[in-house]
Amino acid sequence: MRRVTIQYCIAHHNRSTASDGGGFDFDGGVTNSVLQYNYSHDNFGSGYLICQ
Amino acid sequence: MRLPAAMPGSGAERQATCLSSFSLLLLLVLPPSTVAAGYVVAPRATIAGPLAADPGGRWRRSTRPARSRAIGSSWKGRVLPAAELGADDGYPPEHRRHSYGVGRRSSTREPVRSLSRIDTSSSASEARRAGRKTGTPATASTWRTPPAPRRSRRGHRVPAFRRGDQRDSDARITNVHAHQNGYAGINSGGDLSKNLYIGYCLTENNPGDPSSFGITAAAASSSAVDVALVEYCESTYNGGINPGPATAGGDLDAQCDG
Repeated sequence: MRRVTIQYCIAHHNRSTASDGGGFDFDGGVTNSVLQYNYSHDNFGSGYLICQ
Repeated sequence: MRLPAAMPGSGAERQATCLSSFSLLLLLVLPPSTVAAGYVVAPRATIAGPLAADPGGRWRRSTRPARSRAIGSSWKGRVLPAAELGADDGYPPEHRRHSYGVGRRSSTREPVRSLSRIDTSSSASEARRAGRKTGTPATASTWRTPPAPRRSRRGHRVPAFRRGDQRDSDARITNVHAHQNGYAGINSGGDLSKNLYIGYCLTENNPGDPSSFGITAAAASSSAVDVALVEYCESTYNGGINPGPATAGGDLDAQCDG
């Protein structure tokens, strides 16, 4: 997955019983992507997660 | 219409006895998974008000979906912002009043057959409770698979929105309100998609799939996509009942499955 842009979004009050449960997530081999102008609050996990 | 009472020893009575015996035999023959609960039901609210439900209520399994209570349906009522509710720990009751999994696909217009129908600039499309049972996929999906429901061991695949027979390129999902679904709110998966656009969507109360140990409850989860733009979307109150460990969910994310 590549060349992804997530912008001007809101993520809040998301949760999970295990991992993640955050606001925004680039995960598992996402390349050449942009995460900008977002608002993340009151999530169980990370507000912004970049993970390989 | 009132039916006449069956006389002792009459044909109607014998027929009723045979039916009861057949039902009992059916229960004994069918595997437990067939008879077991197929729905995940949210804690019930009360008619005293949407905030009167037990905030610590637990989700339960049932053989039938929860019925709408007197306080109305969330998709018809006002969507309260979280700040107004003042509920920072857990779901506000009006977000978790229903079970998910009715098996319909719905729109403010007519059943959506292609992504071009989803791209409504004037009126919002609504995809609610698209998954029939646990283990169903997302609400808005760009799967290129045939439209016939695919049976899996976890249940039926019933995408609310799908792209049809066209190639997965230049796909747009806009103005979609995806809520009360299992697995995910909006999902793009399957074959390679190019130029995917998701905009002006609200995904809320997609609690996850308790029977799936994959990624559940993602608001906008994509895989195998080249060039995607997600903007002006809100993702809230997703996740929560996806099982662990080694599971994820709740995020507005982009992820490579392969």
